[in-house]
Order: sequence, then structure tokens, then C-alpha cells
Amino acid sequence: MLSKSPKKAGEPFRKRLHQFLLRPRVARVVVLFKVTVVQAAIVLLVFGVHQRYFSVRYREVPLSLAASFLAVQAALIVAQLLVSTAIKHRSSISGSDSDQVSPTIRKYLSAHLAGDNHYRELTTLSVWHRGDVQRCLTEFLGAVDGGSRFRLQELAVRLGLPWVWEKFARFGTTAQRRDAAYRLGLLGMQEYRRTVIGMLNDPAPHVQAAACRALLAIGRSGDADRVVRFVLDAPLLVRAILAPELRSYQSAARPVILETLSGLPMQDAELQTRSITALEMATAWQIALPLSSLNPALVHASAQLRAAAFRALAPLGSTPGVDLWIFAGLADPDLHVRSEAAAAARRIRLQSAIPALESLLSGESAKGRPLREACRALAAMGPTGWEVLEDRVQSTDRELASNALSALAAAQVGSAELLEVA
Amino acid sequence: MNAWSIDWELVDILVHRVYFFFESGIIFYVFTINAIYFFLTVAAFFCIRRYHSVFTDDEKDLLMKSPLTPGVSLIVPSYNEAKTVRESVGGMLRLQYPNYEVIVVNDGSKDETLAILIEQFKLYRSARTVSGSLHTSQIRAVYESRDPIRLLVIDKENGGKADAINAGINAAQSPYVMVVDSDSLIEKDALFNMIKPCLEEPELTVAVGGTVRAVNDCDVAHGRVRRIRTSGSWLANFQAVEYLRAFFGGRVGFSVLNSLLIISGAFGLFRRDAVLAAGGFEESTIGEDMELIVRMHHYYRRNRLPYRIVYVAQPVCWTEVPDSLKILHRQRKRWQRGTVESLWRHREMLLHPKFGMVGLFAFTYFFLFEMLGPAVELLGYVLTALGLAFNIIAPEIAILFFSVSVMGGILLSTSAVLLEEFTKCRYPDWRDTWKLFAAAVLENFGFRQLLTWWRVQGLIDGLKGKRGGWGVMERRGFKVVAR
Repeated sequence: MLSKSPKKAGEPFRKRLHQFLLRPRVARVVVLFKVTVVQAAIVLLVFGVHQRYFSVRYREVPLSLAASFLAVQAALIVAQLLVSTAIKHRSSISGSDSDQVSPTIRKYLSAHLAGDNHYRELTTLSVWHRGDVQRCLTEFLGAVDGGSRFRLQELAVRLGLPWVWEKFARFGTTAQRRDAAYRLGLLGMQEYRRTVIGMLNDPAPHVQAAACRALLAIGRSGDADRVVRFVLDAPLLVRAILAPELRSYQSAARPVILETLSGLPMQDAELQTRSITALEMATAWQIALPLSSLNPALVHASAQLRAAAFRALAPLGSTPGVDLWIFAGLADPDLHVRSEAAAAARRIRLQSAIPALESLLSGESAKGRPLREACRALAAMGPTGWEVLEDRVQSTDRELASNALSALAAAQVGSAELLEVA
Repeated sequence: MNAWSIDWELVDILVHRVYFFFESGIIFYVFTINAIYFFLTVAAFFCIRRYHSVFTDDEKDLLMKSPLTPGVSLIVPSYNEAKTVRESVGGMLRLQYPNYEVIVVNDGSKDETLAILIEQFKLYRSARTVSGSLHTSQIRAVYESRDPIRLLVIDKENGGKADAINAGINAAQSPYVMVVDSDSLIEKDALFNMIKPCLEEPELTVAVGGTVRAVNDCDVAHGRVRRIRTSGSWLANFQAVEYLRAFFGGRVGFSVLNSLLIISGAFGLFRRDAVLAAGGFEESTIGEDMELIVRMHHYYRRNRLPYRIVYVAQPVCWTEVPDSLKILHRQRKRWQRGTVESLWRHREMLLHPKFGMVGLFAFTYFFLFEMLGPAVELLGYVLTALGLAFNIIAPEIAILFFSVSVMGGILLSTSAVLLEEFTKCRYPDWRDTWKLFAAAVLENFGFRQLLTWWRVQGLIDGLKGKRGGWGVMERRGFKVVAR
């Protein structure tokens, strides 16, 4: 066991308390409480100065209080100036220090990776330049693999860094917790898996995303499944950050998505939201779901769910049955669903949908996104679709003519010449 | 003594009492406004690091590749911006974000704005049309670029800034629209920082405001601020301090209470469907930015729909502040008029419990202190002068109370300068910080009083319902340096 985390009595309660305090509404109340305490402290300071000093000079209380207030304000202003200057001075020193010491740290780390033992030098540097050592070690952890990685892990443990990161993971600010999750993930040691799993419950989406990535990196079997399930309920920020990374875990994601969709005929609102998210992730990862699993979503009462299901049709390509669904979608009462059906027709280049797409160029669909998607879909169909659009270019309906021309321009070579007005 | 003779002693007592009644009222008023603003500023100290964290480079790389990162349409209303449009639009086309388009709306400029855009970005007149649900003045032409850049330029009849923005919203194809002034430079990763609250709570977040700061005398190259510094002009520095106070002090605090009443028209991100639901930007008011936000609060609260309007400190938009008194005068009168118009239109929200913290706190604060504040402050100066002239108050007392009021203002300004240290875009040199602190002190001796007088003029114009345009905004242009 390489970890050095000291156990303290009462830690689970402290952690629960910290998690409670991080909830947005509670955090807001805490901020207001802190502000009130600060203002009360200033008022007490003013009264203190009034009692001790100015009440002797000025007999009238309002005058004495005003003078005390003036003195306290002046002191605060001077203090702010000094603090501001100190912060600037410190950052310029630490900046130039960092520039000077980082090459040395990197040199020792490289040599350590090559087999030399520079533990003593790095320990000394870690005492005075902990942040720089952490940063450089993190860079190296992200760049190496195999035996070198093991040497870095061992070094990190001997320097006590995982213990620091675990502490920040529990009690740090949002940025510190996020960085801690990221570093524990890069470290990739099973000993810290529990800590990372615990961070999935963090209220900050940034931290959740970093914890998911860390869990994938630490990588026990079953963790990809856990992450996919987590992501389906997570905020969009988490899903957006993880979408590129989870592409390589499609084999884990597919069963989870299918399981979510299998509950669909039910009208439960939470399940609907989850299903929409599952379909959104399937689309993002270009996962081809069986048509039978999409059927309940394609006919669902919720237009949002139907639209998401049509978006997920594209990876199926020209699978038998898809064309019938697209025809149904192009005739859907909801305009948003029709737009998605048109986009699906475009992606799979469904030639047989041309007449149905042409029908979208008139009536209530002939504006905004449905019109735009219908024109784009027709443009993607090749010469047959182009003919339909060329007929519309001269239309008196300016929006229709403009969209038809834009779609043709995008599909054909020399687009600028096509759109340019003499 | 007969019935008609005047008891001067009685009159003297009465005058003193009335005088002290009003003077005490004004002192209480000034104390309250400073206390509230100080409350908001202290809240900002606790929130600015907790709530305003930015994406790491690693996260930005992932978001660049993510198919779930939402698209954004940047709408850039332009009127007579020949001096700055090349740099600002050029910078906007080089932002770090995967999916965005830039829509410049030339609102009937009388200078070479359009010609510069055509020449710089190789535009051709396109057969594309712009149509949408928001009514705007006539579109003359639409231009696109021969280069593979996502730039659309709409040339239209002059209709005002709100009208131009509405035309841009009609043309926008992304779910989010961001309004940026064409005399502004935005940070390379500004879109990521602005979209962050929308990614956290996409269903709730309808509008996001960023920070606007003064770019005067900063080094600019290729549409980016390369070196931040204070200006050689004290007038610009006073405004730089004022902006820091307004954004870092005021808006962070209001955002925490979910009662932000204004998002700067120079730099705001909106969910497109939310803007359309609220009816778009209002053309008949000069303060279209504030009016839209107040209207959005009104709409969502009246219909009991969950929403949030937030401010994020980190994304910065750099803009040129007026460095002549004449232009500044016009600007401040316009801003005050806009405040009066926006508040007056939605006056039913004042102290109305149905509108929650917005009606009970934010609207009331803006009504009593931002709208009426200049008049009360001016009355305070007049009463103090009268009191001294007629020996009603002793000079030491007048100086003492004036100092307390001025010190309160200085403390708020210096707090904002200190808050700036906790953000990404800091002045690198300690000399700049000292200059800002000096500006925070000096602005209270002349500049603030001048602003008060101009704001009173704006208040009177607003109450009279006086219509007026933007006037001529003279630009110096950015200080462009070789890279």
C-alpha cells in the first residue's frame, strides 16, 4: 500500500458537511452570512474606535461616529492598496521563480525517469516550490507510459502528493477539487479509485467531469459502465466535456442506452428526460441503435423525445424500416420533429423521400428551420433534388428562394458565383 | 407685537429644523446606498473565485471536439465604426470555439464601415435573404465572404441599435446569440466562458453577462489585447475604475441574488428562443440592453417559469471609453435616460412580491438609488452649500460629513480594484494599480460631481419622455502594435 493518507476521527461527518455547504442554495446562504459577519465586524470596529478615541474628542455622538467611520474607511483603503501591491509583487516573484525553477525540476524528473535517483533533490524542491513540482509532475504523468509511469507514481507517493490531492478533493475550492480529480486520474493508481468515485457526487459539474475522466483513466472493468450511467443523469456541461472521451467506450455505452430506452412506453417525466439524454449521447457517439429500440421513442407523445429519436436514426443508414419512419416524421404534426426527420433524410441520402421533402417547401413548414432542413436535404440528394430546388429559386417567396439558392450553393462547386448578386 | 409681525427667531428655528430634516435624510440616503453597494462588493469577494472559475485548456480542447457544444451566433451591430471594425471583427473571427458564426449588422453607416468590411473580408453581395419574426427596418443587402469564414454582413436602413440586433437575431441560426459592440475586442476564449453557465443549466439560463473594461492605451494586435495598461488620460482611468466598480462590485452581487437587472449591451449572451419569447430588443428605448433584461424578468416571473440570468466575471470585452468630456456627457445622459425608460416601463414590478427578489430588492434599488440617486446627491451638494452660506452648519461638520460620503465612494472603488486582482485579466504592473487607486480617490473631486449633473439632465430628459439618438460617437481607434 503506497498511499499516505492519515485517517482522522469524524472525517465522514466533515466531508458530508462540506458537501452540504457546496450545494448552490446553501452556498448562497453561506455567502450572505459571511457578508453579514464582515459588515457587522466593520460596524463593531467603528463603534470600538468611537468609544476608545473619538468620543473623547467630539462630545456629540454623531460627529464622533462620523469621525470613527472616516478613520476605519481610510484604514481599509490603505490596507487594500497594500494587499493589492503585495499580490502583484508575489505573483511577479512566483512567476519569475517558476520560470527559473521549472527547467531544473524537469531535468531531475527526466533523469529520474531514465533510472537515476533524484528523490532527494526533488523532495527539497517540493518543500519550497510545491506548486511547480506538482505542475511538472502532472505534465510528465500525462506524457509517459509503462515502466516510466510506475517510477513517477512511486515518486509522487514518496513526495506525499496523492495525500495533498485527496485533501483538496475533499475540502478544496471548485478549481482545487477539479485539479485534484484530474491529477488523481493521471496518477492512475487503484488506491485512489474510491476517492474519485466519491467525487462523482460533487455538486460542481466541473468536478464531476474531472472525476469521470479520472475514473476512466484509473480503469477497472465496470467503471466505464458506471461513468456512462452517471453521464446520462449529469448536467450538459459534464456530457459535453466527456462526449469526445467516451467515444472509445461505445461498447459500454450501448447496453446502458438500450436499457434506458427499454423503459420508454411509460410516461414518467424523469424517464423521458433520461431517454432524451441517452438518445443525444447515442447521436453524439454515432452509435447505431436497433430500430426496434427506437420505435417507442419515434411514436412517443413528447415531441422533444420524437425529435431526439429522429436525430439518432442517422447511424442506421439505409436499414430496412428507416425510410418508413422518416416518411412518418416528415408528416409529423410538430415542426421541430419534421426538421429532424428532414435532417435524417439528408444524412442517409434517402432518395425516396424527395416527394415528401418537396411537400415541406409549402404550407406551415415553409419557414425557419423546417424549410432550411428540407432544402439542405434536397440538395444532398443530387441532381433530382437539385431540380426541385432550381424550380424554387425563382419563387416569389423570398425566404424559400433564398434557402433553395443557399442549399444549392452549398451542395455544388463554385458556391460564391451561384449566390453572388451582380 | 402685532399679529402681522414675524417672529424671526421662530423662523430661524423652523429653517434649521427643515434643513436638518432634509440634510439628515440625505445623509441617511447616502449611507444606505453605500452600505448596500458595500454589501454587494463584499459578496463579490466571496463569490468571484467560487462561482467564476474558467475552463482549463484540457477542457477547452475537449469542448472543441465535442458535438454537444452548442452553436453561438455573434451579432455585431455597427454604426460608423470605420476606425475599429477591421480589428474587432477580425478578432471575432479568430475566437477559440468550435461552432459559431459572426453576423455584422451595418445599421446605415454614413462612413466607410461597409466598404472596409467588403475589402477586408472579401465580401460579395449574396442572394441570401434574412427573415424572421422580429420586425426590423428594411434590409438593403446581405454580404458573404468568398473565404471559408462564417461571416455574414447585413446592410440595412438605419433603425437604431436595437433594430440592428433584432435583424441579427432573425438571421442567426444558432440556439444562442451573443451581442457584441463593433468597437469592442473580446478575449479569445470569451465564448467558452460565456457559454459555461448555459452548459451547467441549459433549461434555466436565458441570459449571461460578461465584463466590459476600458481598452484605452492598451496594446492591441490582430484583434487581441496584448498588454493591459492604464491610460495616459485620467478621464479614461476614472471610467476604468467606474467599470470595475460596476461589474466586479455590483453585478457579481446582484447575480448571486438572481436579480441582475442589466447585462451590458456591449457583451451579452442570450438564448435565442428566450429573446424571441420576450419579444426581442425594444427599438423605442435608448436603453435597450437594460430594458430587455427587465422585460425578461417580468415575462418569466409573471408566467412563473423557472429561469436565471447570470453574470460571469472572467470573460472580458475590451472597449474604448470616451476620452472627451463632450462624448462622455452624451453617453451618460443617454445611459440615465435608458435607465429611467426601462424602469418606468416596468414600474409595476416595484416592491411587488410576485417578482420576488427582483421586484423587492433589485428593482427597488435601481429605482431609488440609480434612477433618483443623482438628484438626491445634487440636492445634498446644494443644501450643504446653502448651509455653509447661511451659517446653518459649521464648516468642520460639513467637511466631516462630506468626507464620510466621499470616503465611502473611494472605498467601493478601491475594493473593486482589489477584486480585479482575483480575475484573469489583471494589470501586470504595480504602477497601474497605484494609478487606479489614485483615480479612485481623485474621481470624487470633480468627475463624480460632473457625472451627477449629467445624470440629472438624463433623468429630466427621461421623465419628460424626450426621444433622442446616440449622437455622434467619435472614436480614436485601438492602439495597434506590431506583434
